[in-house]
Amino acid sequence: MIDTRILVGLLAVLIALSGVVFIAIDDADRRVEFDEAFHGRSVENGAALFTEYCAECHGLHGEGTPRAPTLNSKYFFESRVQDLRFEGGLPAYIKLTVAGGRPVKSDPAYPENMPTWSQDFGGPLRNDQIDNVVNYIMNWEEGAPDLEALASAEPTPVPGDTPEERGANLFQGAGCVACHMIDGVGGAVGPDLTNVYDKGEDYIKESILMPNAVVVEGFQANIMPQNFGDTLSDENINDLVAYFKSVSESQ
Amino acid sequence: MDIPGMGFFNSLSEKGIKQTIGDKIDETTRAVLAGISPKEARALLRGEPPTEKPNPRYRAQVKSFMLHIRPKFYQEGSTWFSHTFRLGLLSTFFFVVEVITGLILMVYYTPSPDVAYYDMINILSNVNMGKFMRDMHRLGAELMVIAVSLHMARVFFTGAYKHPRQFTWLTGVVLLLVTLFLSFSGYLLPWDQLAYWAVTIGTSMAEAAPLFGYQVNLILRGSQDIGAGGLLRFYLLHVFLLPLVAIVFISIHYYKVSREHSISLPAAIEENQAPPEKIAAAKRKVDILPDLITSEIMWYIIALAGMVIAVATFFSAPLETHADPLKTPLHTTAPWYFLWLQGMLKLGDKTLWGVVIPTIIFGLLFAIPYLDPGPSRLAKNRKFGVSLGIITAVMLVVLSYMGTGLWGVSAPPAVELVQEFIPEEGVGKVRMIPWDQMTIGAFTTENPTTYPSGELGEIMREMEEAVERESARPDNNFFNGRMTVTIEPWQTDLKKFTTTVNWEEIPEGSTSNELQDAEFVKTFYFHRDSNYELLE
Repeated sequence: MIDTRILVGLLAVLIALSGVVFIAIDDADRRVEFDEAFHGRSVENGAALFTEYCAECHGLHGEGTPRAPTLNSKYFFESRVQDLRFEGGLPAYIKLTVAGGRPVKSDPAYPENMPTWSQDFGGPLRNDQIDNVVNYIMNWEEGAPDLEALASAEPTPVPGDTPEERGANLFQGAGCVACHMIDGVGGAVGPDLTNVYDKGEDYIKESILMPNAVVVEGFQANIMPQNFGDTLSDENINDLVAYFKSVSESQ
Repeated sequence: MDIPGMGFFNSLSEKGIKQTIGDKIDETTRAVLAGISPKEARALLRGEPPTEKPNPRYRAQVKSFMLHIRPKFYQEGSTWFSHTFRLGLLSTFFFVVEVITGLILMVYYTPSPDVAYYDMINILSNVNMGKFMRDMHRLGAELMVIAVSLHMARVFFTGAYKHPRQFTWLTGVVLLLVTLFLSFSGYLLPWDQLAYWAVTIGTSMAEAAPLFGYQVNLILRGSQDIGAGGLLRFYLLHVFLLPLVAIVFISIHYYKVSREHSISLPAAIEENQAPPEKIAAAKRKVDILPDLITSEIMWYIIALAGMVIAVATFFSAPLETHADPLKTPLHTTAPWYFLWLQGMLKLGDKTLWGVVIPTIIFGLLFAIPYLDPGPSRLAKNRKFGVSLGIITAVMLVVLSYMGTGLWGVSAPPAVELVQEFIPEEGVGKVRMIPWDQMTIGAFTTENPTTYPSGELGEIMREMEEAVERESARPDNNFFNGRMTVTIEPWQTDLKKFTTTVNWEEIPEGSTSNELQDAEFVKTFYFHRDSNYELLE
């Protein structure tokens, strides 16, 4: 007769082994999922850091400002490192630039040098935070707009002799008036644009190309189409700005 | 024919092949198993009486190093489950689990603030069964604290610390302290927010000590704040000094038990308060080989199986975001086994409640056997001692409750509201909403008709209730509150989630009851892949 304790022990061995097997079967998949989840969380943290530290000069959506270059563009993701003959790849290039800053301006027109951000070089960010920022910037890659094509695109022909006239026609023709009121005419789904020129040309351009960048209080995000960058050329947009300017000045 | 140096072949010709091989097996087995023959080993496994005289099992205990540490037998009464609950055995077992899993984790860990957190991520995302090892290590640590504490309570309530076992008790209190510090020093190593702030609070308690507090804190942390030096010091404490002290004191503790006084018998037996046949049964000898060893191995495996099942089903070692010395989390709590200390700190002066009183408590713990001269171990003769023990246990529970964030300290209502739904660390209700159900738009608790369908809508309804609850609380300076959630598309697979709490309040220092508008905004970003449940 075998001791019951040996039987209980053997049963426990079986239970422990099945537990280990149960964990081991899923372990490889779990690790892949964990990797993705951790990357997702890194992008989330990077978004908060970018908004806090980088957006002031590079724009809230990396569109660039007169103070610093555009990051959210096809050129940046496809050609930037080749043009610089940097061999470490784009993520390493971004990390290097964020961590160490730029001792020399890439364009003399910028008012300041890119500062150093890593604590290793006297900046405020830890290296894990810099990794998060890199992951966030790299996350633009998929939808980055082709700004060069946009700039060189043939303008959509719009009737009118002056920019103001073409802008006024475009405001009707492109459908803006359905939602936006101007000079007392138009819809109320979006904000009144009679005095929008006071907010500046950059604001207008950003709002047309990236309607969710700034959502005026009291209005919903994601109502305005986000593809005007594809249908309007630079010249079209400048015409619209000229039209807004003329309306604003006539008030 | 006798060939010198060829004993095997000589006996082959003398005794035949079967006998010779049999003898050789017997000889080898005895050499390996400290004198136990194959036949005897079989009898051991089957729980049968010894096959030779003198008893080869006793001889094995003299010859074998591992066995010589053990006594030859226990009295049956001291092996009754209801007397010891195997708590000392389990404490040792968990220590061994910690050593083994700890050694494996050490291979993948570097004690430096730059890489420690990434090493944790690597263990979780790249090392085969790395999460299993980490979970086992963490679970073993918590179970070890529980087992050691319960072991101590058992010894106290059965009066087993009394003469002649006073010194054994003393080494036991040292082991309790070592266990607590082992667990606490391991807390810092993942270098996440949880680790950093729990240890910052813990070491700042040392700072409150009179005269040398500043120096102790400095020695532990390696500088004013915990940094590279502090992490390395905690690491060395955790993997070297404290385990060394533990091994030395476990040895002393066990040597006292096995060689000097054995495990105590139940008090009623020792003091002849039980029926004679029960006393006779309790004093019967139970041999280590095979009875106790069989029983011990069974308990080890049961404990191991229990741990594996816990890890496979619900237990998961937490890992928060990277340590950030500049950002104090909203509700920082000590590890649960130090919550009573955190609770005491809320009572008043840091030096008195954080240092002086705990020192007195542990001093008294050490001194219990010397302060309690009563010879009887029976509970009915120790009414004062037993009541004191029960009061202490209840106090520990109450103080621990006071130590949690549930008692005393709380942030302004608006901050707590956001924390309730989207905590700074961990998952929370909002992060559990499937990414696709995070509908783009703005939704406010003022206007329930705007709620989207699905889980977000349900959470909005819960927010509505929470806001009403906070607005209704008389002790809150929070009136007519509302919560607004704005969700915007932000990037590929990334949404921006802004929560705004608006309310009216009586301005600070104002004497009139005039209300003023106030606002609290907090922004989060949610990525499609960030499976928070997985990170928990």
